[in-house]
Amino acid sequence: MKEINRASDLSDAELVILADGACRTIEHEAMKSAILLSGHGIEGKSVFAVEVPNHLLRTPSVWSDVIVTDAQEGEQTSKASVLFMQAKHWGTPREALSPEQTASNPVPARERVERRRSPCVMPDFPRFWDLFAYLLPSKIRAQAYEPALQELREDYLVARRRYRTNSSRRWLTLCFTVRTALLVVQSFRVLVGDRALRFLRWLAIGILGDGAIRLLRGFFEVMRRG
Amino acid sequence: MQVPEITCLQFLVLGLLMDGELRGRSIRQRLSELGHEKSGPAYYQFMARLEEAGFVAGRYEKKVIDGQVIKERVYKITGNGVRAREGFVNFAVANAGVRLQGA
Repeated sequence: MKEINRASDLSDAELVILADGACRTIEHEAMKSAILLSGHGIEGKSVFAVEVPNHLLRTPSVWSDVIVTDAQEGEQTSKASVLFMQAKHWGTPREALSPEQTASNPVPARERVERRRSPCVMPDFPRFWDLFAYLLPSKIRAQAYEPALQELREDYLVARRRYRTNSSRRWLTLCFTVRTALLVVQSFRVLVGDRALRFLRWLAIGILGDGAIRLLRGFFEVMRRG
Repeated sequence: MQVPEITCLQFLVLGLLMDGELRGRSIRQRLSELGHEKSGPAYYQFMARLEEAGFVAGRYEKKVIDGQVIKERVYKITGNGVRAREGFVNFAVANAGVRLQGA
């Protein structure tokens, strides 16, 4: 395991992620800017060495497969999909990675980074929006809620581009929070409709046999038009 | 003649997808223009049913906006979907003929 105390300890070909969640921030000396890393399959572990091809370090934003070394499992390597971004506007963690080594500040740099709450891939995106989804059954969540939420996120990001002041962005966040709540309500309607439809179908087949499906379909078609 | 497996709205969506892959959002917008407005979850549930029936295939496509990753649903029609749509057209044409003769 490589001990990181300052940014210059990072080489071009290797970044060590100090991870305590899904998002990590690492400063790379050569770039003079922050790189945000987030990946699937590398969450929930403490320290990784990631071998990164040099050219990726100069790309503004790209998903790529990288070789991940799990320090806890005897240097086992595996492939993971990782998002690389230059995140200049999110602030660099220079002070965390290069702390002053004084008697008043005895906490090692690495520990301080780990204690901090790591910045998220979506720094201003309210995370509790995602938590709303857990009110719903997994099937409805995956089929109905999640794709609709992604549309909403896109709207949110596009709107954020246009309004840059703090107050307008707070207002936007409020608006989109309300819209997300509405989305949950709509998902519940879908859930109730889905269950009701299944029940009617089951009832009709039980009473009338297979021909009932055609009858029901005709009925719903008429209802939709009416 | 066999009754079509799909509804009018499903026929409409399959028709939109005949030209190639489309984003979920675009299909929803087109449907809305044609007078079939649905809420986001209801629309995606509807598309999920089409997927379960094997008429369309959906996947997520990653997209980066302002350095943030968005997953976007993209759909394309399958062979079954094309057949179901053709079945619907044949049914409609055949029945229109019967009506005209009777009129």
